[in-house]
This record gives sequence, structure tokens and C-alpha cells, in this order.
Amino acid sequence: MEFEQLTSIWNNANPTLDQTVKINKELVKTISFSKVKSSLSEIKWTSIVQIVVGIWFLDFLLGFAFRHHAEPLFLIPATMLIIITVYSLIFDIGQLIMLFTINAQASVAEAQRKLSALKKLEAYDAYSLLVIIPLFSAPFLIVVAKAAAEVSLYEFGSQWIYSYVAGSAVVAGIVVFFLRMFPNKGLQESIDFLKELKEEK
Amino acid sequence: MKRTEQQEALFIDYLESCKKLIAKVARVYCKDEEERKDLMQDITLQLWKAFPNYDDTYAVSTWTYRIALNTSISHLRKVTTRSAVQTNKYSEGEIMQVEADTVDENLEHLYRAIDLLKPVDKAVVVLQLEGCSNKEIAEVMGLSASNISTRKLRIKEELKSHFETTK
Repeated sequence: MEFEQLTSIWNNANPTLDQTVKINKELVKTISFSKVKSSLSEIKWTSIVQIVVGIWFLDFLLGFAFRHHAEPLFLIPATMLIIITVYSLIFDIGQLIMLFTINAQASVAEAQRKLSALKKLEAYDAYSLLVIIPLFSAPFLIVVAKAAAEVSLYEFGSQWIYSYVAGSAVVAGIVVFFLRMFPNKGLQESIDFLKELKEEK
Repeated sequence: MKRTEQQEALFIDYLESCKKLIAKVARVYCKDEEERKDLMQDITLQLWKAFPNYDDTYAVSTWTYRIALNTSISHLRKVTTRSAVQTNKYSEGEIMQVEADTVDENLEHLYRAIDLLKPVDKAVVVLQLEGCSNKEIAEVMGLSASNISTRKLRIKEELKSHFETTK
């Protein structure tokens, strides 16, 4: 069957659709733009809140690092947290920029590529949390205990810290292994879809 | 931005001119009737939102196809529940209503064949059936004209094989 024949079948639907599809003109007239709530605004606000909290936390960490710059036992965990917070802020800002630039008026390939990339970022964001939380919880506890209560967790001995960090690293390693073995379905779909958009030769 | 009565009237006229396309695109991407109504609503709302920012460097048809297809592909893929092009349902009724229509067997057969294609290929075939040239399809899709030619050949083979096996 040729495209010409299919086009003729396709166009045969037009007179019927002319009759059966009705536009509710009154509803168009009464819609106010503000009533059309885009769920995009929700994700924008979530990202903005994350960025604001991230900046506040970074400011706190920089202050802490400055106050304890002569104490490596506190400076090192604070530096680790600064690095991960900066990474997280860059990630969140990147996501927000991507969200702002997604446009349904763009070409199909461009808009869908951005949506797929966003989906990938969301999946990686969730993945990274699973690794970051166990790996960075010990430095976080050390810094917060010192800053909030002037308590040095090193006073309870260093053995627990080594065990905690080693245990966390093992947990993170197992999580990464399983995530690689069984990738998130949405992530896999996004990757497949991006392949579909690739130029065919 | 506040909509003026003139804008509303223009939008209604515009919607009247593209309602058939919206209905057909929605049918291609959604088999389920209720879901299709939602998709038609989504497309209409996206067009409504974008209407004041219409970019006249593109033909109205290109602009309409892009919004309708992007909304449909995103709807189909359900990229995320927080999808950028997804809007909440408008609770006060339907902007575009479809009355029960007569069933055209050939058309249903065509829809079933298109349904087997991948989302991007569905968009290409819709544009082809709408009478767009390779150049126009490439512009809507954001792919090269040669890519469109190659895809069309493959799509044609897939459709042909479907029609042959279901004879």
C-alpha cells in the first residue's frame, strides 16, 4: 500500500471530524491563563528551594571550614561536604536551566531530547543520593556535632569512624553494583528514546 | 498576560481550523478513549498557552504540528509525572468535545498499523499523511531531510508488511 492511498484514507476522516469535534467556545472564553496550572511550576519551585538550601548549607560549611582551618580533623570532612554540595548545586542549577529551556514549540527532536536528558538527570540524581548519603553521613555528623553542640565525635575514639566509613563504602559499592545490574526502567527508556532520535543513515 | 476578547476570538478560529488535526494526532497516540480526551485537552491547553508567543518565523502549521506532536509524544512516554508539557486537567469541562463518530474500517485499520510504530515514526507518518514535504517534516521534527527520507522508507516497509499480514 502506497502513502497516497493511506493519505486518501486519512483525509476521508475530515468531513466526519468536522461534524463530530466541537469546540466549547464558552469555555475558551472563560479560561484564565492563571487557572492552567502547569506542573512544571511545581518542579521549578522544588529545584529553587533545593538551590536556596544548598547555598545556605554551603555558606555554613565555608564558615565552619574557615573557623577550623587549622584543625584537619574538622577541615577535611567540611571540605568533603563543600565539594559534594557544590557538585549538587551545579547539578540542580543545570536541571533548572534545562527545565526553563524546554519548550513545546521547539522541534520534536529538540524538545524530546531535553525531556529525555531531564529524565536521565532525575534518575542520576536519585542514584547519586543513594551513594552520597552513606558515604558522606560520617563527615556530616562530625561537622554538625561540632558546629551545633561543640562536640568532637573524635572524643569517642576513631575506630567507630573508620568502621562507619568502611561500612558505608561497602553499602555504596553494593548499591552501585545493583543499580548497574538493574538500571532504572525510566532511565533505560530515556536512553532508548535518545537512540531513536539519532540520525539514521 | 491578560487575554483580550480579540485574542480569544482569534484562538477559537485557529482552533476550529486545526481541530481535525488535533483529533487525529490524539487518536494516533492514544487508543483509549478517555485518555485521548485528556490528550486533546492537553494539546489544546498547550496551544492556548503558546498562542500569544507564536513565533512567526515558522508557518502556523509547523508551529501547530510541533506543539501537538511534542505534547502527544510526552503524553505517550509519560516521561515523568512532572513532565514539562503536562498540564493539570481543566476541571470545568472539555474545551474540545468529540461526539460519537461513525467507524471507518479503513481508517481504523490505518490507525492500528500506525500504532505499531515507534513514537517518533508515528509523528513522521502523521506529517506525511497530512501532506507535508520532506523539508517540512524535517523542520517540524528537527531532523535532516535525508533522515526523514530514510525513516519514511522504513516506515513504508513496516506499514506494508502490516497490511499484507492482516489482509
